[in-house]
Amino acid sequence: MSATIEMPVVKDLYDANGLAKEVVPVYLDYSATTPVDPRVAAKMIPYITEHFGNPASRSHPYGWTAEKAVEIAREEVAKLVGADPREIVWTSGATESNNLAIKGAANFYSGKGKHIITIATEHKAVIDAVRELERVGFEATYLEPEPNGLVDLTKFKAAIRPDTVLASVMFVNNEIGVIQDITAIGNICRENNVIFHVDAAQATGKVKIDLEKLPVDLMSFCAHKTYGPKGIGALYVRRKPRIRIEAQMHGGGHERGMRSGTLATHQIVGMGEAFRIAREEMDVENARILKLRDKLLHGLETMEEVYVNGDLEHRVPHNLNISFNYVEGESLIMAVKGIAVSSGSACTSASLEPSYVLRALGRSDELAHSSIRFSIGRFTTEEDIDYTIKLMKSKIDKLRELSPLWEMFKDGIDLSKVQWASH
Amino acid sequence: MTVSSHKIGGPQGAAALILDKRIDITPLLHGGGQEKGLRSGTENVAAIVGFGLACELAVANKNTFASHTSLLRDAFEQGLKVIAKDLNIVIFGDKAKRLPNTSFFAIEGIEGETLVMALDRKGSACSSDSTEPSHVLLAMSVDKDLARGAVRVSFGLNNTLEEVLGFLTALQNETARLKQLTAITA
Repeated sequence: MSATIEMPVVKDLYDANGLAKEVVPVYLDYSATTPVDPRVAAKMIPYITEHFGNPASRSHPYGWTAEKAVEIAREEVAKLVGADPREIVWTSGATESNNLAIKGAANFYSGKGKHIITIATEHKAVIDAVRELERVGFEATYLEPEPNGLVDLTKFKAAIRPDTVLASVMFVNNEIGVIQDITAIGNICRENNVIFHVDAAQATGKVKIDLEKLPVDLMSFCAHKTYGPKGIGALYVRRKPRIRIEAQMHGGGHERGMRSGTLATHQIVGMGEAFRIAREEMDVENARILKLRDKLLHGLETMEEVYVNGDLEHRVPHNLNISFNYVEGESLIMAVKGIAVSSGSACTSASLEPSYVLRALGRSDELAHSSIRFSIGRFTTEEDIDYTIKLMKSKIDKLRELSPLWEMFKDGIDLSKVQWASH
Repeated sequence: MTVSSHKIGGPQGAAALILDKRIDITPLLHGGGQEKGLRSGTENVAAIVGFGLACELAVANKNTFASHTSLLRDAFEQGLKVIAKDLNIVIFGDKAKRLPNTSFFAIEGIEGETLVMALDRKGSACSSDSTEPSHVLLAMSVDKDLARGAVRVSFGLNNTLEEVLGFLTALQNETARLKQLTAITA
């Protein structure tokens, strides 16, 4: 079904010889952002032009039409994740949702304690929000995950203190795609009376989420990782048992006072439609994407010294993060201009720091630098994968030909035992 | 200075803060470091592009907007005084420097919310504070009952003089009807 929908903007990717034109690289960076599904865009447009009303305008049909659309979208978002629509609060995106959940809950319940637990591999929006709380008097534990990227439950339990008020663990990691055991972690939180927040920005449309059953109190979502528009997200706030948060944005009292500000109707409509499509097409789409992922993995694994980062079993099929040993990170990025991907050097920022996520898994700086995150999505084709395998093989071969380290490795020298001269 | 997109013909969901380089502020959203660390989060590219164009158009149309909407507004207010000559009408802020496109008025003895709902049935969308009187008017020391009657009419480039006349006719009929009702129930 999804094969009949074409990628909206990028066309004519290949020339007569089946080679990708250099100007438009093959898009394999769906974990950074997805294109807006054309069906979503079509649904949004009337809400920019004819139905432009402010949903807070209570006295005329322009406002009512907008408000109705907002509430239908709220139901769609709730349906995808098994929530009650009244538990969904609109925000500007996952960064705001994470900030609102973490600061909002920590501040509201600070009387109980001022200790927070999170994971070293969380998204910056979680880590930086927790760091900000540390600055104003909270204490935080940044738990190191296992080398496969997953949280060890015993270690998690051991990190809980009597004054622990909040734990934040992401559902699906943005760099390596591993899926945490949210049920088990949530149960530990429940047993210890710790509020549990989950960043699910990378999870919607990829894993089944049923908040009716999941022991989760707060959950962050965004639209633009699930074929909706940028600039819109939501926060799930549990009603039973009721979780309270301190608003971070004041003025107007929109969203039951939890998040003031005029609602961006067309954005919200887009998120609702994107989540509706995700709910209906997830199973078929995931099966198709898994096939493409396996094809890519098998194609790349024919090369030597190639390492998959993160657990392959507990992982969304959309993500493949691979380190290419004996290849220099920066030259690798330069060499693969034919595909649009993220690298372990550039995942987090424009700086050339190696990925903190891969470092937390125990990868060396070199392997972290020479890693690439391939993320596959709704509009990826078999041809895209074939092209990528071919491109990677030829470029890695070339880069290794130039590498003295690769030569030493091929000569059977154990590089870890080499005494390098300092200079 | 705070500026917002959806009040000037751009999409909802984009706004900007204009900040003197010498002023330091503490960010409220952390993580990602976008906007020089002052506002983290993936930029809403489409809305921002729309806001940019709306700003461009606002600059280009500044004089047209002011002359067109003030013409409509003044016509409306003159008409208002004519149709409700037996009633006590207050136009808030009319002696002060104000925006060319906005008229905020109250008719003594008529509830704003009731009037707006009645007008809505006749095809005009304007706004009033539903239950509580406007805190702005109260701060200006306007009488509470009068403030409860306040209705805001705001014009845009797309409105026409015909629409203003149609609105005035509806307003005349509805105020007369409501006045009668009030007289009966009083």
